[in-house]
Amino acid sequence: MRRWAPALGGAGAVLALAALLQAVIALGWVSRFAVAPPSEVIAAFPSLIASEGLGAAFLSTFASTFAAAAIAAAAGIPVGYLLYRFRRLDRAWESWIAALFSAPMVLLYPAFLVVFGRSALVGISMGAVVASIPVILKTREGFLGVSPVLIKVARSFGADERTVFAKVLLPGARGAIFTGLRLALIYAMINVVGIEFLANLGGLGYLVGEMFDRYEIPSMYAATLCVILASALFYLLTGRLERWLSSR
Amino acid sequence: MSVTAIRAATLLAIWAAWEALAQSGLVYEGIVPSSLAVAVAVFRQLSQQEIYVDMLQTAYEVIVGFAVGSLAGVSAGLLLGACRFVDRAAAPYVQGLAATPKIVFLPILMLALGVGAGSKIGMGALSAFFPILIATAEGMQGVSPTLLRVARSFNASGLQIVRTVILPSLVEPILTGMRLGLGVAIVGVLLAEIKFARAGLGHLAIQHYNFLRTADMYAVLLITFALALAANALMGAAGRRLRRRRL
Amino acid sequence: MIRTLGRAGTIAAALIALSMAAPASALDVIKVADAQKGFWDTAFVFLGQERGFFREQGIELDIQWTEGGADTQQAVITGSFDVGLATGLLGVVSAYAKGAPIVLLSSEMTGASDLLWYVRADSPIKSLADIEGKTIAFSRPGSSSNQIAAALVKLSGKSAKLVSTGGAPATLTQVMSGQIDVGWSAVPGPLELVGEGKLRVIAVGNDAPGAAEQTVRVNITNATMLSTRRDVLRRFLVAYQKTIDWAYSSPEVLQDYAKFASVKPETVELLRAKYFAKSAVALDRMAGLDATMREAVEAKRLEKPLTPEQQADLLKPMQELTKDLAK
Repeated sequence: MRRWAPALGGAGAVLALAALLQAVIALGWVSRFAVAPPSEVIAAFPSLIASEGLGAAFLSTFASTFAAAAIAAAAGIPVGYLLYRFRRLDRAWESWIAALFSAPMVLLYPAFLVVFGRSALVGISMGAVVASIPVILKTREGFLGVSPVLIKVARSFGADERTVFAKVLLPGARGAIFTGLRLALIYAMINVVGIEFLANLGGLGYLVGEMFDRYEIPSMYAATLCVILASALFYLLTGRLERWLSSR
Repeated sequence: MSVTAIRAATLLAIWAAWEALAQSGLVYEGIVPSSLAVAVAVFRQLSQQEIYVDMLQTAYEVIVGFAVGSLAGVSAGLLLGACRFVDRAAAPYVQGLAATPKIVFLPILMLALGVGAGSKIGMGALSAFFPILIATAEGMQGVSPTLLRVARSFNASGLQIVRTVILPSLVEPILTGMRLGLGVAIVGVLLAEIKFARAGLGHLAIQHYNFLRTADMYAVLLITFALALAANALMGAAGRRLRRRRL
Repeated sequence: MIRTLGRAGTIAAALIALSMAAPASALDVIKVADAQKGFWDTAFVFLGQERGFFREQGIELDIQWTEGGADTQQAVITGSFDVGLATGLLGVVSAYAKGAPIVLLSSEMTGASDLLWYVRADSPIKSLADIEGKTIAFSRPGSSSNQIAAALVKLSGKSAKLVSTGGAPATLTQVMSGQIDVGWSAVPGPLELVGEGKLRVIAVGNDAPGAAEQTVRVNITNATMLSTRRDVLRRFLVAYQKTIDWAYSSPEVLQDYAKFASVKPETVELLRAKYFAKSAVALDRMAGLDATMREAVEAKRLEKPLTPEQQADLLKPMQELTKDLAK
């Protein structure tokens, strides 16, 4: 029972907050045009699913996110390995790549719109670019974290480069690489949803904006909740996976 | 090849690829202007008054938003770090919200704070809040129990413990969190300016795009990138100075 | 508090930009969100301000240009702006039906004689019959271009995708760069490019059945303004009417507007005579509300048409404030 106490406490707090919100709005202390009453938000879900294509929006956003993360992984892991392998390259590039992460790359979306047209490719490509950075950095970090002693031992047993990579480096870096992939998923989703919102492209980001534009405030809150749920789900599921992986 | 040579070669390759794309006619004319056009545009932008007003607007929104977000983040982080139960109860919600793209909260912010600078400040605050909260909370958990025991064995009061043990060991994590927080605050504010604004660097960049002044758009983006990197570097330098003073 | 901080910051930045110290104003300031900078009907407040008509009424306008529709509407509903101009009636009835604190101030445009939809000259689309599976632009949800674009698609009997592309210049960029098949605009916008053979008009607003007799755009304010600064609103409309009268009778407006919109002065004559009849921009006209409500229900913006009581309540502020304006 004690194990579940925090979870129950958290859930209880959320429910209490919702009830408080409902009361405060009913009393008129907070405008229901700024904050929709929780009851109306829940009531908005059926129409969101049935006539606004919530399901399709989920699928679209998820598909774009996974595609972006996959590209980021495919491109990022080799680059991360290159940085580990060639120290000069690492000293030349690593700080640039790290600095790029805080650059507001999403501002480039108009250029991507022109190149790719109004399609999911815009979100996928931009998401891939941004998401590849944590993959690169974490992969590099993972390889660097493999004990040089292990590598020397393997070599002293006559292992060639490929064997060293497959049997020593990769298993040793696996944890960090997976953390990088996890970050890639999260940042890919952040970018995909951001561009969906700004460029009216479709998916969950577009849905939130559309509900706001149509002044369907309860539906807007409902759509926002969906985005939070999706992000939280990604985060928690990948966390589970990570723990499972590291325990093997 | 030396490090400098590699860097120079990289920049050269990027520039060459850009020019090739610009001249190739592969992409819609004008969307990749020649680097000369962009350079000229940079000078043009910097010699007009407009961009400085926008810079000021964005800087104001970022600074206030970052300040509010930092204050809230540190306070909430201290609370979470101090009380294990609250921390474990709130953890899934904090982490879920932290992973959420903050842009989806922009409509809510606009409803609550209006469509002017208020919502941009709100975006900056919301973006900066989570990294700083998480860093502070983790920092609290990282406070050495040994130091705490030593302080207590000297009969230090609660306030003294906070001042001499807890706060100093929080400096490092909070600074790291704030550095990340500043970066995301800048992006958050710029995104909000793109959506609906009358001033600011994000707004200026999109205005240029809307009128197909692509060279000017890239110029504004380059200037914005440079400012963001400078702000980041400044934050890093401030952090290093603070660390040296502590030592 | 953040909202106040935000406002303070914006004002500070603006003040630093206008480094010449302007004398402190004793005029009533109205923050105006006006849609689509550069068009004829949306230029009235700018031109009138330049000519001092609003100052005569003790009013100073702080104008921000928006991309139309929802952007204008939300700016006013959230209280960030006092008055919203040239926003679609479609969006207004929808927000009103949900109980939003939105107030109808006056009419702005009746009929869609100014709106047009165009394609690149090399496009395979020759008319509305060719739009199957294509993307059709409108500015922002709830705008007049939204309403008319939907009506045109319905008229064509084809299935096409409506996409919000923002203001007219942004839309042109998107059409020219191939992101969208059919762009929207209003005269005089694309006329020059059409003349040069780069663009081709495939439909005009009044092609939509009944559109010529529908009030499609209105001016709005919020409940706070109505209850606290009603007198200012009336004076605003008086000055606005004076501007309209002047715009349709004076020769100076040719130069003023030509300079503002970067067009030739002769174009202005064309606008006044052919595309924007003075009766179309009348402030007290409300036509075709039933048709608009039907379209709103079809577009899922309304659950059902407004009841007669709701309609009367919606129109009341406009009727009272525009009474006896046009002499």
